[in-house]
Amino acid sequence: MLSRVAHSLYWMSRYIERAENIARLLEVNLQFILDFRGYDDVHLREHWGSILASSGDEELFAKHYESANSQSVTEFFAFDLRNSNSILSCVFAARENARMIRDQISVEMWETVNELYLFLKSKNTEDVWAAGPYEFFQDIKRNSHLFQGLTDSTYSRSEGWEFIQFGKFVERANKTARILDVKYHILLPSTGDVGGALDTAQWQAVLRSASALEAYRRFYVRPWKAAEFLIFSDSFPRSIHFCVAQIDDFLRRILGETSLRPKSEAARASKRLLADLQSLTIDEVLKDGLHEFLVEIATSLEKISEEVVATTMFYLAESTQEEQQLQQQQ
Amino acid sequence: MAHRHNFESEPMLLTLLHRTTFTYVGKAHDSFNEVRLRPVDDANQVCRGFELKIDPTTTIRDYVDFYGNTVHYFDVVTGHTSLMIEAVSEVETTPNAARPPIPVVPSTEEILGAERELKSEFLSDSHYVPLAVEVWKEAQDALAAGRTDIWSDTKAICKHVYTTFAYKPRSTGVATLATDAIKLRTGVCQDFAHVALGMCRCSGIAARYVSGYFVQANRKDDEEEASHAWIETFIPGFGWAPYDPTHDRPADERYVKIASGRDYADIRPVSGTYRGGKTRALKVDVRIRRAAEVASAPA
Repeated sequence: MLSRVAHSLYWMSRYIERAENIARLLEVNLQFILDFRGYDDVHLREHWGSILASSGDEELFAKHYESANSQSVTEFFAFDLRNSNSILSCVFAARENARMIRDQISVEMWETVNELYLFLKSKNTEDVWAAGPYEFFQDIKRNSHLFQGLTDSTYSRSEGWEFIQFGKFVERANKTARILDVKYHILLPSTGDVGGALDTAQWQAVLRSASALEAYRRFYVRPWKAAEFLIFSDSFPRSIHFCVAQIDDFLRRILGETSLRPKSEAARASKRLLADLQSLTIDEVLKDGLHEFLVEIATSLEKISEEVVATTMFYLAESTQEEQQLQQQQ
Repeated sequence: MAHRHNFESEPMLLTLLHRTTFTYVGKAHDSFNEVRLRPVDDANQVCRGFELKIDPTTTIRDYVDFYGNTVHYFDVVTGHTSLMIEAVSEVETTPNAARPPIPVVPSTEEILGAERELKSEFLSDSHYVPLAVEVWKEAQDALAAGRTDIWSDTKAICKHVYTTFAYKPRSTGVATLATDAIKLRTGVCQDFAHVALGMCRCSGIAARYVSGYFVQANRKDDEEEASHAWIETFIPGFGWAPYDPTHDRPADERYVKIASGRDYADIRPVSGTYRGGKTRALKVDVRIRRAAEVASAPA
């Protein structure tokens, strides 16, 4: 497979997953705020601030917007092309990647990405607020699920499939870590609030942000174990552990790592990360700090994906290609 | 150019060396190359031995291209300041006396037209041989006396090129097209062949470019040797018949064929791409000797 094609498959998949996660995060938090009408401006700013912090876009936001409120944050995360992580930017990038490899993916996959792009382009913040944001975010999630389902049922299980899945799970693990981190950031309740209505609602919001509420409830009723579930569950397909297990599997296939002791730095790092997720307990994690743990996971994932991109997908053309000089026949 | 040569009835055994050396400014890397250097096996010659050496050492693979030429390809990924490609081969050519005579096939529309579809790639435009009006005009001049048969037409065309073009090394380059050579009216064998090809094709005669070597019997010691080029025209019921417009004679037992195609672009002896510094120099050493000569006086 051409490294260029692998690169496009990987990013197409990552961007779709990213758009979906941003949509879910925004939707859940907008609903959450509705539940707490008592929130004053300070609380509101804090709340959105924590979400901006979790995506690492605080500075960029501050540069272009005066204050963080539901409208401005929605605009920033959904439609602002200056934000390379906005839903529109992600879908645009996913579509560009899909367009470059249209001959490699099914027509259904292409049409889904293209329709999502055209749908987003036809909307703006005012429309969304007028019609109700719930429907809007629902449409984005549905399209992402449709795309992933179509990929599953129309794309051959080839090398390309490995790149698509690798991209999807790297993005998903990353986003689950960030969603959990939101809770750490300013949603950390004061001691009196622990176990109170606010704390409960916040944990529920976190679980819903990861589409994990129903899955969680099959195991637990009270929400205190949400962090443990989102990090360690070995059956829920959005938990960090589950994603890293998939990452490790696809990465070994991509890099052709067959021996017990991997040769590449990326495979070793993913093996280490997986071992942590399989052996640590939530108490150990909380003792050393949840935030630090999540940051470490995000950093490690970034390193792994960077190495995979560098070795298999992207050729750094530091110099142009030259033609070998030809000899005249005399 | 008179060559003293005794036509013999014994096969002629020739040893060939073709060494290409690229040197680069700084380091070259990611070099991917194709070479067409292996002499062909056909009714006129048999390749008795062939060895290809690359420095830096690398794995060499081969395939047969659309025109039936053996192509060797290899890559040198790591950095290198020079690249040497050396082909050594031993070829036995069929003596002239043992070659079948070329039949007289009239160049009528019926006969030429019947070949048009099967040999279309050797009748149409190609990169080095645009079928432009000036090429057509050259053909008209060459065949002004009237058409007779395909082989005589071929000879008339090549004679025209031989007599009206001056052989002048360094007057043209590797990228010179047939139309450019017509403007200059000078060139080397590559240009002579391209012009003759264009003229044949304009006259409805399927013609192809042949790359190879020929032994120069009265070669001076300091004379530079290079690979040579001539043409072949298709004679229905017979096959491809070779003629050398540079020397105005049929290619005989002194000629060794390594590849054929529509024009130079199809048979480039050495071609490829690489990344890194510019090419500082390209040095080509070609040496063609009769095996007997080599044995008595090793070079």
